[in-house]
Amino acid sequence: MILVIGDTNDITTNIAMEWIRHYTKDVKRINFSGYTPLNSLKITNQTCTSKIACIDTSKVEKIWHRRGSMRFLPSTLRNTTSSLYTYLKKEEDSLLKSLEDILGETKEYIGSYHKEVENYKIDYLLKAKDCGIRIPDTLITTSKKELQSFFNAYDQIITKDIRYGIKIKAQDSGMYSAGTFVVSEDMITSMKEHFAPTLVQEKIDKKYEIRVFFFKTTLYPMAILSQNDTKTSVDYRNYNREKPNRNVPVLLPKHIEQKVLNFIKRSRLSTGSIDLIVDRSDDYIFLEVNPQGQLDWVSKHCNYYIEKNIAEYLVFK
Amino acid sequence: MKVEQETPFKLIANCIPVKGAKRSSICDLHRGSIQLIPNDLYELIKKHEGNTIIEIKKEYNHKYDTVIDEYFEFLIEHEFIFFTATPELFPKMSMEWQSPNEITNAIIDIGRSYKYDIFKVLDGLTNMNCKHVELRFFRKIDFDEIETTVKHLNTIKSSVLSIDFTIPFSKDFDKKKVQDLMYNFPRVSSFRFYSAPEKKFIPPIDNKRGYIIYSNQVLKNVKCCGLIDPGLFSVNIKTFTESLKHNSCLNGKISIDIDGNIKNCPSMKKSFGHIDKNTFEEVLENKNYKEYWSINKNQIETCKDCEFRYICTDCRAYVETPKNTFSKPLKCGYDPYENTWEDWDKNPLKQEAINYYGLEPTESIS
Amino acid sequence: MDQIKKLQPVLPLTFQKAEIQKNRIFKQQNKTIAIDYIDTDAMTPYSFYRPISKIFTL
Repeated sequence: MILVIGDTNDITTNIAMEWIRHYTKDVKRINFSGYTPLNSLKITNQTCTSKIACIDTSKVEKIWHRRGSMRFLPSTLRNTTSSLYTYLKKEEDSLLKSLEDILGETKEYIGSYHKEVENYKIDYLLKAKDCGIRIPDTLITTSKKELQSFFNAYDQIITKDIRYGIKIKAQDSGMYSAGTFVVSEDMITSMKEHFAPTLVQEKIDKKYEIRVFFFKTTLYPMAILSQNDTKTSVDYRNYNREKPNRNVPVLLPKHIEQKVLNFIKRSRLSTGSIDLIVDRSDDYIFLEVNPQGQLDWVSKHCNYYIEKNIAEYLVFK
Repeated sequence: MKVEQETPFKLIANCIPVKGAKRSSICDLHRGSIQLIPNDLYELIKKHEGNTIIEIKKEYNHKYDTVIDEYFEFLIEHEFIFFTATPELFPKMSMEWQSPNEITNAIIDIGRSYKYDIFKVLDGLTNMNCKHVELRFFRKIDFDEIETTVKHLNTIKSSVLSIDFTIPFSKDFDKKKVQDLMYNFPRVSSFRFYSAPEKKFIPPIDNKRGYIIYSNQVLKNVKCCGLIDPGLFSVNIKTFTESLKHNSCLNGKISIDIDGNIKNCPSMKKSFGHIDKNTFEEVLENKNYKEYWSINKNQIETCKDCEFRYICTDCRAYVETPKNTFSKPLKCGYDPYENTWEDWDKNPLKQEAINYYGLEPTESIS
Repeated sequence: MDQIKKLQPVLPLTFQKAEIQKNRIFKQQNKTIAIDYIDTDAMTPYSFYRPISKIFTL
């Protein structure tokens, strides 16, 4: 049996499910937005068995963890006071991680909740570097002096979250990350001598970006050609016409492909999406990896039929 | 983007040039639009993709430098090309077309002559995992009947994702009522009212889906179908790739005519069974059912020379020469050899076929 | 939010451009549909990629 952990309104889960059902009826799906009854996780001195959502997991051969996770907390608890919910989530989180490890022992488990929640950018930067892929010079600091000298050393620097995007909710408004942005001198001037840990990187002058979705050892790279076109951007005829960036299939040079595969192997990732940029001198630079990254647009724009290939892997291999 | 004379150019992989008899097109399958180009430019792209502008100009002994510059400015304006020192890293897009379900779309016609159970039809389509359905009424219909039908799809958690209604205009279908229905039942993707007092298009509200079209055209029967018109062009990867090897109307289609006959399309003569006697599965087992599914635009006369052939959808029910399987759709008024559009029903050469099918002139409410 | 603004000089640099958004007044969520055979109870539907019949033009 194949078990898919996804979400009700995740287009990728839906398309892949159509393909899986085209090949077999022996598939079960668990949706993140729903409640997943954990019937039992039973550990004795002789055995370790589990039954989730009435599925005897010993019958499951492959698990594709596309998105989200199972949710063992009854939905009535989702609106409880925040510290109670935080506690319950923490307990659930440790259970989910253990369960993933246990299931991964006996069956092929592709995708990961564990990897997604512990997606530490710095760790992956180091792994990429160790695999011989160029990375942007990076500084994490709490000191203004260090920040200033890093700023002085490069043409331009950027800052982004170390792991979590800003999401602070107050009564009538909320504060959210603006994504990656260029750091100005004024910003640094406004800072105190010591501040909370901040990540900055040299800004790479890019030719284009590459999104590499990977499933097992198959890579699906797509180039994102952003148009730095001043002519069309000032052209009044285009003032309200959306001109989305061009997205096209692309190949990685063999030596880069090998390094990316090594990185995937070393990171023990079975699927995910890697962000690369190609700079003006055709160097490939690793930015980050997202273990539950999107693939719908890659599949669609490049006519890759990724969902079909995933289904075929799950059913036939 | 600027013109780079000394860097090889590469076509955007999902912008595809299609050569016609007298001119060509570039189908922008990414942004869903189309641009017409001279055949010379088509040839230039085909022959020189991966070369630099300097090289191309030299190849023509600098005789056409101005024209070449103009061509490249056009290609850049529409962002059909980009310049790269590593053209070998940018492959063509795969032209594969695949579907997990054998039946992808269905037409259900309902008239006065025979009464069959619509629920049963929808159950049958759901068994086939069919995702898109069009329901056309050639009789009066009230709002409640539509609502019951849509509710049934929810009840059976049907595979049908979209349902379009073509119905005669009546006061019973108040605009607000129709919009509410489309909001509450998002499977409903459109209402098209014919015999309406005026022509009007009402787009979906608040970025949701579901639009309304009012037309003053009178639709008496299935013989009004089979129109070929730029308004029906479909510029996307799925249609384009499907058209290369399959029929762009009938592939994956199943239909029921007003008498309950199961057919490729309600306008066609041949019946493969009856809704009260056969299942869709049985019909699909008939070897001849899919006969038309593979008739593609590369095989159809005139269409095979048309620059619109992979974005235009075909019609096999009404063709210029009824005895010829590969004849051009009758209701197409485009001539790819002259690049002219005319009213198809005024063409004297088409009168014989018009009489053969018993087509009547189109009628409108004035 | 004012408190956070005051703290900005000791917060990570990412706060310099953090966006403050008014909590949206409960926005009506798009309705979704359930499909049995692929086991989803709330997906956003979409239309076919080409015209199904060609009886209507605009």
